[in-house]
Amino acid sequence: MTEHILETKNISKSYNGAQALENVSISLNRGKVYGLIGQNGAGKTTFMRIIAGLTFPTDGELYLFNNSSQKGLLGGRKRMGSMIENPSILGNMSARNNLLVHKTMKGIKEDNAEEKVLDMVGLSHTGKKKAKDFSLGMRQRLGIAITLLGNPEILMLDEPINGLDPSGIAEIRKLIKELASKYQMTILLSSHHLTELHQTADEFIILNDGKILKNLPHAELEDQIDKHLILNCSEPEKLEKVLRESLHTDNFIIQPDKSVKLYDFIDKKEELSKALMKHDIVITTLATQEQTLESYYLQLIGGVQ
Amino acid sequence: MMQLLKADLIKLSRSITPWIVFILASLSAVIFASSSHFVATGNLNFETAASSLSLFSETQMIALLGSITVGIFLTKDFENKIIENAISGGHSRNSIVINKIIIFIILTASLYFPYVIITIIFAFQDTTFSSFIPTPTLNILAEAAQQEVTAELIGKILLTSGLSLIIFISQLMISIFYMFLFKKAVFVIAATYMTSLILGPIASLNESIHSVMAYTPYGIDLSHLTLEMSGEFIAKSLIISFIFIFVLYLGTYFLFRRAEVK
Repeated sequence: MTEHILETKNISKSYNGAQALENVSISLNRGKVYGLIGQNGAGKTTFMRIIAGLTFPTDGELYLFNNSSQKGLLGGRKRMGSMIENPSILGNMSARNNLLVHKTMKGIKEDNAEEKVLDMVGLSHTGKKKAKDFSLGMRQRLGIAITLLGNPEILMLDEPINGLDPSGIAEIRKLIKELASKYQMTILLSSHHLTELHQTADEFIILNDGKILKNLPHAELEDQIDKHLILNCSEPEKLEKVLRESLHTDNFIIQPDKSVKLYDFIDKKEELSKALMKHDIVITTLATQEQTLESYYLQLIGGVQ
Repeated sequence: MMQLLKADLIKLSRSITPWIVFILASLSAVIFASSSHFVATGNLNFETAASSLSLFSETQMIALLGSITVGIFLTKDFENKIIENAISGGHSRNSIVINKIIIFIILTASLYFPYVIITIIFAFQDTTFSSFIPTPTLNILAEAAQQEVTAELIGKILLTSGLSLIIFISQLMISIFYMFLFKKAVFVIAATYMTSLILGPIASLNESIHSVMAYTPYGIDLSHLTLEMSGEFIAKSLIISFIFIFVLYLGTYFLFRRAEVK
């Protein structure tokens, strides 16, 4: 039997008749990074809160390490680290003392657990500085450090890069990838930074209006993301004729602005360029374009809403 | 649950609020005992002491400082997401409620502790005290000062102080219920203190309300908490207090069992 680290079966949740989640079913496997994508109000945080036990589903089942009993879920959560919305931080304490409180709560015996996670998130220099004096990014890093205490098998992070500067984002991205590959952690991430998620996640779960719209692995996303050439010239009609008659392709679209989207010759741009010059077509733009996760997502939900 | 308790004790040791509240309770105990002494020696007017200095009595101070402590120290755990982290870290909601009750008992005991210490110190000295308002501390001080120090007297002092503490805990236990109901420190402080203020006048509204209130810790007549209190009073007070604590624990647990934690 395959061990799904985390599995949900038809999870639904409604608040006073308003449906926040509807039949959400997913299964997460060990050592993979999952990106949870959705607009505000799509149900991402509600879904994470159900997994963390902070709210209860109206319907459906949750399994942690193949166990859905109440006792099993409590045990499963002990093997999980989560940061949902804001991190759990005591402002009047230093980063180290915050970690000491959380380490004690989790029953972690390891002596240098605080130092280890502070080092991982780059906060070992903070000394006695109180957490209330931390910047937003530092608070975020401390929140991530708290979730890492005790080497959890599942890490659930809601908007973990909020408030981080570009170098901080890159560091956290590297850390997340390392945690998944080196420590075989299963990581469920939600973020509005789709470019960032695209670079970090192995699989994407797209939520819209409380329903799963798409669940696709990174490789499948790459296949679905269309790659094409964009051509601009002063004589589009002539270009069309040359493409059809001389280059024997009709795998192109003439767009309303008269630019041409060409799906062939992507790796033969030089050959294409020479052929067009031979027919006296002056090309003003010849560029490769591909859809991003963001444009794919927008296309999937039906445009900007 | 021991993990939660240890974590709370670490927080307690590194937090300034419980220490400030403890110092305030200690100062109040000293002011209250001094007032009682000066009333007994005739240096302070009885009416003045009974009207204005009664604010420093243990009954008033525990209600006031107790609600502040529960609000600031315990309820803040909702606001800074400590409780959220305890749940997502696999602690059962029942163990969270029990843990908070234990910490609440420790905090309430620490508020009453200065009064007990003052009682023990002065009970064995040749100092006179007046029971200008009938609270357990003054009852003990006024009575013990007239007696020889014996093991029996020490036992009686500890018994009276212990029973007083249990009654105070049961009266303040409503704050734990409010904590899980409101989840906001300011509401918990206001509601707890208001409850302790209004229950007295409500109890005296009419005979039927008074007879109902007599079965709650708010209806226990604290003036009976003396060194010579009867066995029946002790038993009745203990039963009422423990049942009230248990009922509020159950109420809190059922309130929190399926509650949304934000």
